Amino acid sequence: MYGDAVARLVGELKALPGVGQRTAERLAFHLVQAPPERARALARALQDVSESVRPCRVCFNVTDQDPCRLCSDPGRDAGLLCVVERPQDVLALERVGGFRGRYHVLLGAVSLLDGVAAEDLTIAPLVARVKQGGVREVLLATNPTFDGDATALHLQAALAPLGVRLTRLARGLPIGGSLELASKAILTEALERRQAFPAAQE
Amino acid sequence: MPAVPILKTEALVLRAIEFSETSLVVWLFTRDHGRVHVIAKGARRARSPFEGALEPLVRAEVLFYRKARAEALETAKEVDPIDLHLGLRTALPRMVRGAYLAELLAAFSEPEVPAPETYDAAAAALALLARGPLSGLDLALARCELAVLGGAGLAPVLDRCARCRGPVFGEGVDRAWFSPGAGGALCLAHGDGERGTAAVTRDGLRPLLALALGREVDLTAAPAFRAVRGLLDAYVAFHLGRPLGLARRLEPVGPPARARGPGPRGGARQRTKR
Repeated sequence: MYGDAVARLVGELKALPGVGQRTAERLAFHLVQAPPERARALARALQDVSESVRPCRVCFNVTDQDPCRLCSDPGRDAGLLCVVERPQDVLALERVGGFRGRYHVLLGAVSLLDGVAAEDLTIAPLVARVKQGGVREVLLATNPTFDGDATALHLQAALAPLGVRLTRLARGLPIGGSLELASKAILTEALERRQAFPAAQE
Repeated sequence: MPAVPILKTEALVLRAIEFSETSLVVWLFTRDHGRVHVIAKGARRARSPFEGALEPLVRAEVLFYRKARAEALETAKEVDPIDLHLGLRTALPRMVRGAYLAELLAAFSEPEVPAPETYDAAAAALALLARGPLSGLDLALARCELAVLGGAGLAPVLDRCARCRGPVFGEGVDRAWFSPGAGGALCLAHGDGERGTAAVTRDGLRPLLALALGREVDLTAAPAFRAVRGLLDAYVAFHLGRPLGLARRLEPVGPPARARGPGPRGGARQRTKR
């Protein structure tokens, strides 16, 4: 209908998550009609990604230098380790900007129902990293889902014997939210994990 | 055009599978309609109306649109949690047993076959798995497992020979057979040649028999745990044609667990007939 080259491009775009036939066609024709340099730049970017990006050998985040910039940054606290499920989670936390420790990416989550075991993740390298010493706290920042919590429990079993402090991301009501509109899940968590209200400081 | 009927029932979430960028397909074990597969549109969005309610093992009141075609999925309208069972997430033994129960219910429930008694047993067991003492987890699970098998018409016969209806153990005889294919225990004379049949001792059968009769059994003791799990795992695997994936993750909890040694579990010995 629109030639083999365009059809191939549509097919490749359609294989991306969240892209259906119509979106793929729209993107393909955008590239066809754009200045040739635009398409070449995209092609180069894709090639660079596929050739140079790999997991960091220390934290398993995606990187084009090994160890990654976060692991190489001497300004970050090497004694505080934040464990996340996916590289996208590192991005989310870095966007906030308040965390100055280092990361460890598990490359997935334990799924009891789908048969993903702790051995399928990068838990063994994490344990080895903690055993090397210098880590005083591990923040378990897996998602607050059934799988994320199962992962956190596996991490707890693996790390607790090493004597390191284990913490978990807090859960509860979002800032700016209202009780009336909060879901039962959030309210239940917020109630069960309620905190002492500190005395007002002079 | 006739209005699409909306059905309301209580349900346990068995699992949720990513369907699209924004939607989930959710397996529910409902009290009134057996197993139901619903599509939950928008469930993966950041601000979803189903937030937290479609996590595995949540007990909820569910409203869903009845599908128009037999091969279509039902569509979830509202899911209102009754019990999130967050206690399951406080210890791995709780989580593993909860997930095992979800796997068991998914395997032994049928679409459009109401099983209210099985549902009530599963809901009660989940509450215990989430909030009961760790030492009672295996008792709650095994009792529920027998209820699930019973609800599926597969309750094992344990108090008499499943074939001749006579005593399982003869006078002064300590050996019999356990045959999932024959439906439970077999006396020494009737166990020969049945596929999957394994030898069982009086002590090996006693804990599961006691459970089936509604008696208290201490499953924190490793021998009793292994006897019960060995028989139940073999029975479930035979009737499904495969073992449940999480069966191998069940290990005894409680004080005797620290003293447990390696070795095969089960009152049924490893001598299996083909």
